[in-house]
Amino acid sequence: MKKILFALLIGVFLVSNCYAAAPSRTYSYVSGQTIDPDEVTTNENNIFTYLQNGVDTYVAGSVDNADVSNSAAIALSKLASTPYANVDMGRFVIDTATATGTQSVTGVGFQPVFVIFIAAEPASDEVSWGYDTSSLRDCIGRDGANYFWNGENHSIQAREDSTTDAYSGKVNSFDSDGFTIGWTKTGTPTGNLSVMFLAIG
Amino acid sequence: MRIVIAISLVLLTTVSYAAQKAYYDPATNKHIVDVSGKKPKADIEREFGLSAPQEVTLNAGEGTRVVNGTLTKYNIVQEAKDKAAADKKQKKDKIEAANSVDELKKLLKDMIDGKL
Repeated sequence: MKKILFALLIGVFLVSNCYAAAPSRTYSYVSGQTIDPDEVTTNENNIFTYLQNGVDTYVAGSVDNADVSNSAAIALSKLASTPYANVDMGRFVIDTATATGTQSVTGVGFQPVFVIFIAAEPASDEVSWGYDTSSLRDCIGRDGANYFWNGENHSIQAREDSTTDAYSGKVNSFDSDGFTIGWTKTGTPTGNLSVMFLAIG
Repeated sequence: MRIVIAISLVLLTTVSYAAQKAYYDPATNKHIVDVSGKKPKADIEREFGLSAPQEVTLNAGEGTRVVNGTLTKYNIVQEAKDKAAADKKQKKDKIEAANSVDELKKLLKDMIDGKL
C-alpha cells in the first residue's frame, strides 16, 4: 500500500512539473544520422502537451495594451500591483489664529499620492473644497459673507468676509504615514477650521 | 447573556471611535495629529525627529491650540456655539442702540455684506 501511494505521489510530481515547465526536446539530431520517427513524435508531444495545458510564460514585452481586449474585464485581484489600493479618511482641526507654519497628519496607514479636502468653520459661512497632489492643487469655497471664491494655489482655505484675512493650507509633502500641510496666515483670521480629508495612495 | 452584550457594546464603541492624539514640539514648533490615535509616542518622536513633544488625547469634536507654549485642547462645537451666541448678542445690542433710521439702514447693509 505504501509503495502504491509513493508511486502515485512521484507520478503527480513528475506530471505537474512536465506540464508546468516550458517544453524542451527529448532527442537531438546530428547531421547524417537517420531520424527515428518515434523520437520525432516524442519531441512533438513535448510541445503539444505544453500547449494543450496552456502557455504559462510570455517573452517580456510581447503582450502590450493592443493585445488585451477592451472587454477583457480583468479582475483587480489578478493584477500584479493594484494602483491606488489604499484609501483612508479622517478629520482634524486647526485654529486659524495659529501663526504660519506646518501641521503633520500621521496615522493614515500609507503614503498618499492624492488628498481631497473639505473644510468648514463652524458658526461662520467659511467653507472650502479642494484637492492636492503636492504639485497640483486647487480649491473653491465661500467666504464669511457668503461670496464664492476659487483658486490661489491652495487646497484648503478659510476666508473671512470682505477682507484679505484668510488661513490657507496646501500639502507640503506626502510622508510615509500621512502628509504635512503648510499653513499660511494672512491678516488676522479667527475661528476653528474643521478639515475632513480623503487620502488615496 | 447581559455580560456578553455589555462586552460587545464596549468593543463596538472602541472600534467605531479611536481617539486622536495631537502633539506639539515647542523646540521645532511642529504640530502633529495622529488621526489613527494608535501610534505610540516613541513612533511619533522617531518619525518627526522630536525629543519631548507635548501630547494631548482628543475626543470627537475637539481641537488643539498652543496657549503660552502649552498644547491645550478645546471643544470646537462649544466654541462655535459661544461665537454664534456672541454674534447674535452683538447684532441685538447694535440694533437696540441705533437712534435713527439711517443707523438702522447702515446696520442692515452691514448684515447683508456679512460685516455684522
